[in-house]
Amino acid sequence: MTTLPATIREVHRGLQAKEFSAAELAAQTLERIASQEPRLGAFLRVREQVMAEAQAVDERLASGEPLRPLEGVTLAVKDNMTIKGEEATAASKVLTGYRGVATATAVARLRTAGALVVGKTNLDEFAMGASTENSAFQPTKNPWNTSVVPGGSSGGSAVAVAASEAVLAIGSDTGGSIRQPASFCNVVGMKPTYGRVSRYGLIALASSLDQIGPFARTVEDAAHVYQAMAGVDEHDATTSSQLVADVVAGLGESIADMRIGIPAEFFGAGVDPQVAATVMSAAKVYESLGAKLVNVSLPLAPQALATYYIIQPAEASSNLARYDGIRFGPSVRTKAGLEQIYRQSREQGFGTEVKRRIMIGTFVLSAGYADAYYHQAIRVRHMLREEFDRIFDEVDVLLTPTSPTVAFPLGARTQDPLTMYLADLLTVPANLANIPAMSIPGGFIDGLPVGVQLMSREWDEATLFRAGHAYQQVTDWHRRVPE
Amino acid sequence: MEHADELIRKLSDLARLDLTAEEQARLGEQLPKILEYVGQLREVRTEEPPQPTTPSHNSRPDDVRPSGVESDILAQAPDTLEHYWKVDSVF
Repeated sequence: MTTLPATIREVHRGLQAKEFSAAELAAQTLERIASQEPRLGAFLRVREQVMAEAQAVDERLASGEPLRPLEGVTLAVKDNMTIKGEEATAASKVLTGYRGVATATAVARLRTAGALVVGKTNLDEFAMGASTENSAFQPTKNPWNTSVVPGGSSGGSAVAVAASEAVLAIGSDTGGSIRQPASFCNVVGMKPTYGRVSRYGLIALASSLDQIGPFARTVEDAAHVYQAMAGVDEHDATTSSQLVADVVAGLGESIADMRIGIPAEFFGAGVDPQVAATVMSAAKVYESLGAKLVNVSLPLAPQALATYYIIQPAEASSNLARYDGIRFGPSVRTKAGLEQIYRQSREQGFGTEVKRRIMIGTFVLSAGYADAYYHQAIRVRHMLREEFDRIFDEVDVLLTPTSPTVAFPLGARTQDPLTMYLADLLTVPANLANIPAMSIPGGFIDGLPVGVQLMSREWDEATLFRAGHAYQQVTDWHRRVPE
Repeated sequence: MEHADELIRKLSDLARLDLTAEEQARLGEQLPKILEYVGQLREVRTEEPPQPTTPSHNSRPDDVRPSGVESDILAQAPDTLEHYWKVDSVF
């Protein structure tokens, strides 16, 4: 193997032609990770166990078993998902040493499909952030330019795929945490419909928004990962028993006559004009493929960020109440009483951004303010959902920038939380509306990648993947690799 | 809204979350700005009562079943007694 395979197809071709074994692929991947990590810091932990797991794949193949959909393909997993008996920290000191009591359903399903988990990737602590600088352990660097951020919160997973440390990765997306780092690192990142993929074994951030989704170089590979994870799970009551369409089989279908909406609100205030222009040239590519561009409006979209930064901290402050120094991890065992154990354990365990969100969430839920903030946000969220519903009567897909800017320098926004929150401006609407959305590579500005965001109606991931795949058939942005 | 320092103290009590002096000072500056930004939402005209936006899709009978992971969960805790978490007395 001179270069590592970059897609599922390349892995399978190599395995079937016996150009390499799964064990050789796993070993070379671990070498690649070892050589890249001092520069990038994408992984919190590498799994040496993957060597034995790869040998088991080779034994399966030697005994004539058929190739499973992800057989022998390397996978990186965000460290807010658990594997039974193995450490999972969510990049927080509070969970240092915590070992998963069960394997997350998403991870278990990908392993059943044959994927090989090479390691656990870095994130902003508890997935709170847009740059992966809020990790309690290390920042992750962007492989296109190590002085800029990789995006976040799933920065480690995006970098793992972009830097060929894994063929595939998974992350979680509460307000853009898959799509925005995918955009910054020139890979595909996709958030399914809320309720499509089980969150069992995902360490919760905001439970009405969190979804697990794939990273890959190609839309086709992202579709395979999505397909393997999707569907009802008795361990997550929010998963839907709606039929999961075969999105892989539908990839090659024509997009002629597809109606693509261009919402003005996603190209205006706060969006870098160069980013807007790059994304509009992607829209023209769709037009050349026979799709119809339709100018549309989502008047409430500019309110989405404020809505999100009420609902998300509110839910986070509730979810994080469980880290009290009694049930998990480090505990300050003061003699000053139970309340002091809670207060001091939480002070020492949580990082600055987590504390900030707990404080915001506590405020918007507190007596006297809950109606003006939290309940108002719930009302606006409902209205925003209705706006999206109406738009999808007119169009099949919405096309926008993923991020208002390209990747920003490390440290540039860490002192000003509001500017960091603005990075989520264009991704939070899909979470609030529960709809699926995806970022695909769409060009470069001064050597840094620009992502194009596609959104489709609830449960219609098939159209989203078909649209993304069609674009990659006639463009080669996604084939560009850093270095 | 209360003075920022008073607000921070009150929220810190409600959240059972101590803050360092430096964090208190920084949050005292940042929190009012963040709340002002999200407070713009109060300008949006809304009528309907709030309703859940994420329905539960998949409920099953609430039958008690052994989880099989009790000892794994207890093993994570700083202090346990038999099969209980050990906690300081509340009073």
